[in-house]
Amino acid sequence: MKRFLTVILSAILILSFASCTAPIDDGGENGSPAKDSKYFFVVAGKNNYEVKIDADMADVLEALGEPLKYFEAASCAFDGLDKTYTYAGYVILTRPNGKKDYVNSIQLSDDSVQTPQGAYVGMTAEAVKGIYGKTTEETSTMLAYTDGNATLSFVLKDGKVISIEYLPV
Amino acid sequence: MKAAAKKWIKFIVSAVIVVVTLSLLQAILMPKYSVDGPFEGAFVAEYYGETKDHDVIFVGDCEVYENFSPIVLWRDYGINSYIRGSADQYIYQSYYLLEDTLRYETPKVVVFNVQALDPKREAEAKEAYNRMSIDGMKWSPSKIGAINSSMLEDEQFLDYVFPILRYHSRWSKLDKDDLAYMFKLEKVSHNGYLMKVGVKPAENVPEGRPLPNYEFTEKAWKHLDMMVELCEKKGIKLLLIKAPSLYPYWYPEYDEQVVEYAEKHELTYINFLDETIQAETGVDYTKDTYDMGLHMNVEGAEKLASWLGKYLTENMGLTDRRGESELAARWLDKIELYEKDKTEKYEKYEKEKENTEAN
Repeated sequence: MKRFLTVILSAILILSFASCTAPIDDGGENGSPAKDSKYFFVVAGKNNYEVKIDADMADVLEALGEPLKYFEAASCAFDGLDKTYTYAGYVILTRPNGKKDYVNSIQLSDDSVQTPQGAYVGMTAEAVKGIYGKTTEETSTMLAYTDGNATLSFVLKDGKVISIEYLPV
Repeated sequence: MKAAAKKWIKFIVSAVIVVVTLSLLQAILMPKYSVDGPFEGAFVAEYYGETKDHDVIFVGDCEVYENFSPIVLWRDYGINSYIRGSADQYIYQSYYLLEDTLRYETPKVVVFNVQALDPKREAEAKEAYNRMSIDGMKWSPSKIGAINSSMLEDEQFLDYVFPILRYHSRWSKLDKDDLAYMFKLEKVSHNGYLMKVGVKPAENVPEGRPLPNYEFTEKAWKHLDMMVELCEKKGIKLLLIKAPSLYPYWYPEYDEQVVEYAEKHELTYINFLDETIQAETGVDYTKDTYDMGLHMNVEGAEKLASWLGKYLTENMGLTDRRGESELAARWLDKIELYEKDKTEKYEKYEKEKENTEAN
């Protein structure tokens, strides 16, 4: 009987540790970070500061200064805020992780800014392909290029770019 | 013969010891949402302690459980309602929570908040939110359906059957509350409503960024169809709403799909973001929200409930039940708790405000 008990308890322990993935406690993301992407946004006029996906927002704010507009949204149930920083021509969204905020997306919303490679809102899909080459993913309304921890996404309407976004993978 | 019987008894006793030990361990290790938070994790289980003869059942996420006060629906219109809400509740979870509810009762109206159809939300599903919607459900085919439809790639069905497999790492965070609340549920909601006080006006609410695709997913449509079918089968009126939360952005392209669906299925759809309806409700985003327009504070939730109560009475055939003595007595207790909670939360809020201003 002792053997039976030992077998059962051992099985439970093994099962417990076999499924030992990240704890469920904060609604945050699991998984290991991917390498830095070759796709990032460069802010002209701010010493060509590079804004990268997963960057610490405190550093970004120090470099870029106060935004034109700020908005914060609490996540459903958990602590921490999703924050939106609107600058001229681009918008940075962050996600909380622990006590810090990290860049979760960068959206280029008008043609006053462009990607370091020269793509901008209003450009044709063909011109984008001319710059970036073969897409990672493509539909009639989107061209996407993924590398490392970021995807550079072009949202299209009638064959023209209406929004450019750097998104986490 | 005697030896065999002895062996069996030993086996059964050992098995009982194992099961009881593991059950106790599980009860200790499970999160105590009603004490430590997030409180939203406690909602689903709370429902089972209710007397189940509701006229209206809401299903959805924080856009229902923070935006509509069932107390006002009762107090002003005699409508007995309950919100089966949970944080970030996805459409498939709304369906199975509704199916689960209908095992116990058949309300006259079901209110479903269409924000749950947002495809961005489905793409960003997280295990922690799945857990808050599912762990509290009693075992039934509905819970199994909820698990199967919700599980993410790296989740296992067995982890929902034996939550200890996922929560064992909480052992290092255990405190006296984990023992005190092993089997006891502390009530945190008012018929599913989570009361919030305070004011943080809506400003700088971002517009939605352009999306490559606005279509709801097949999975979302499938579960909405299932919800419609279930309500039809039970003779329940399904009311689709879009709660007046300003963020996440509700795209016109989303709204068009819901309008079209509602027309096709002869359902009523109320978009509380509509300016006319907003004016009728009296919601003021400079005063009635505690978090910049995402959710209502208690004043906002009462205004919305007041408008909805009138609508349900005038358009969906709900009658005033305040004359039912037993039910009225139950609600008297609920109202007392609600007012007490409101007073305490206001006192705490005012105190915090004073401290912030002093600093």
